[in-house]
Amino acid sequence: MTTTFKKSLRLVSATILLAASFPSWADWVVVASAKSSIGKQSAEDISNLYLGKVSELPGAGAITAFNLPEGNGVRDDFFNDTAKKAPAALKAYWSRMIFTGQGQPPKSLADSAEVKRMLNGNPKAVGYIEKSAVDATVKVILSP
Amino acid sequence: MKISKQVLSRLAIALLTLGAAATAQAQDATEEKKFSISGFGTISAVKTNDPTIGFKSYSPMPTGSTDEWAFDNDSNLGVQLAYEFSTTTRAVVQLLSRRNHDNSYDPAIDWAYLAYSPNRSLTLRAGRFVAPAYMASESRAVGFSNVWVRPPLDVYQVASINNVDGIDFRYRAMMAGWTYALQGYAGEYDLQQSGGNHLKFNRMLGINLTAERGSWTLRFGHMDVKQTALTSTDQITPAALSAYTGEPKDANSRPLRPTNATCINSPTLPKIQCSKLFTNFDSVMDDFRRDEKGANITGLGYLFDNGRLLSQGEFAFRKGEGNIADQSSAYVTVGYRFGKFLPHFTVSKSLPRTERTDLVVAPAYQVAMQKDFPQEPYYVLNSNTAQKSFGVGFRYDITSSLALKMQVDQHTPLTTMGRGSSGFGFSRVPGSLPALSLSETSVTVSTVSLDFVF
Repeated sequence: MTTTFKKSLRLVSATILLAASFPSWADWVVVASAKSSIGKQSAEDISNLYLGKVSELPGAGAITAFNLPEGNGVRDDFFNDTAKKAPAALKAYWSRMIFTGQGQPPKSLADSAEVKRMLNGNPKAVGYIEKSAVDATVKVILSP
Repeated sequence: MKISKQVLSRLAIALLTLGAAATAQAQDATEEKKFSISGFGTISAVKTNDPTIGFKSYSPMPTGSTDEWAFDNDSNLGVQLAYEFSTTTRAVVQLLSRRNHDNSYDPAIDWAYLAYSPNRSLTLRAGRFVAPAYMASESRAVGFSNVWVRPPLDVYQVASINNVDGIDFRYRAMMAGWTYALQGYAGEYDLQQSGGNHLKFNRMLGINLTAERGSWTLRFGHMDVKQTALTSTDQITPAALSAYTGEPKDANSRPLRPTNATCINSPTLPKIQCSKLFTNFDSVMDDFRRDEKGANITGLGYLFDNGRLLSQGEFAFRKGEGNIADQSSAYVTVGYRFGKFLPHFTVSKSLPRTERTDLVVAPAYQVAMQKDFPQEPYYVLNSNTAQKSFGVGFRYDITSSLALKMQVDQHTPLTTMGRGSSGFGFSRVPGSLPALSLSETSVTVSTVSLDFVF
């Protein structure tokens, strides 16, 4: 009896610890071109940019943001973590913005490779990609 | 500023042509997409719990739904066409089909504007847009963007304002961690109602300030209008004063017409016009005729959404003139997201400050009036629509562009100064029945809807 209890306790503690040490399962990072002057950014500023509330990032001026397509897991995790919006909530948000003339969502690119390619040609742009896709062409400006 | 229907429809046709040309060109070019088409829609079934109570979610509609499921209340379809001329200039047309004032589904031009952004902070628009009287006014038709099946009646039906033909600006800024949007607009609009009646907004001016940070959105809005209520033959209404003696039961009101040779038929009174019988008749009639009468709405709103807990509320005060009484309205919605399932509830209330004006009998007729109408002086009341509501519902996101909603609302029209009211959105069927607040305690409206975007 006692052993079973201790065992369960250990299991519960382990689960809690595990959950606590990984606040997010997300594997996204926000990147800019390695040649860009854009510095580290806060999740709030990145969220404001991606929700079209601002068009600039602090210390970096006007910035173009790139999305990954709808249904992409990295995209879903990115918006869940930064904007606290699930895919349908995000779509509801943008449907309000689009149909009331307040803005358009950032352009979607096919995949992380395409994002990196576009950033390479534009030092005033940012994008989120899966962490494993980070290479020498980009620098991480925000991670979860 | 005046934009005729012709100009708007020409703009729509021009955009469609441009769009078609642009899509054709885009086939062989790698350039960015200049033309976009998107849309939204709602398929909704609505019913009340009583065959004698009709419900209209949109006040210009000629008839409402009663106790049988009706699909013609909230259902709609919207299509938006946008064309980017350059990075700074775009044209947008949005057509909205829903049951309208003449009982057809003819698409109406809900939005049609040219937008110019000289820089990333400022956007100027000219054309037609939706009057942003309240927080969700502009997105009132886009069911998918809201948690409710329709914005709370007790606030959103206090103003019947739909569109503005005019100009606006929107300025965005960021200060001390908050993002701000300041919008100002000016214009006019002629709102068609059933039976050929129309409400002409001679002038609309407004300003909105929205501040956002993290989960919070705060909004202040003020709109000032001058309006004229007209019949199908452009006669200003009301044409008569509805006067009462004693308890103001609706059935007992007596229309006093300035044009009648005999104001009140009675055994003792001589045949005499109202303006001679009452010393203040002309000034009260002038005050009540909705001829370029002012009204303004000041609102405060908030939205809190942290991804799980959602709460939205608005308080709005309408300052009226003439037969439009001052009115205070408010609602609060609270919801919680369990994944794709979002149950919510809303409480709301709208109360008028109805004013009574006594008609003063000219000294020569006081004895005769006392004899025939001993109870009370004749008096008039300005608007008295009052209602409180409670609703529960849920939104379930079937996919990221399709939502199922169910909602049950209990609306209770209230009696003010003894005078009955059928509340916001309700009417008796047939109309000869007493006002709802005098005969029933409340009405239940049930709604099931599917909302989508594409």
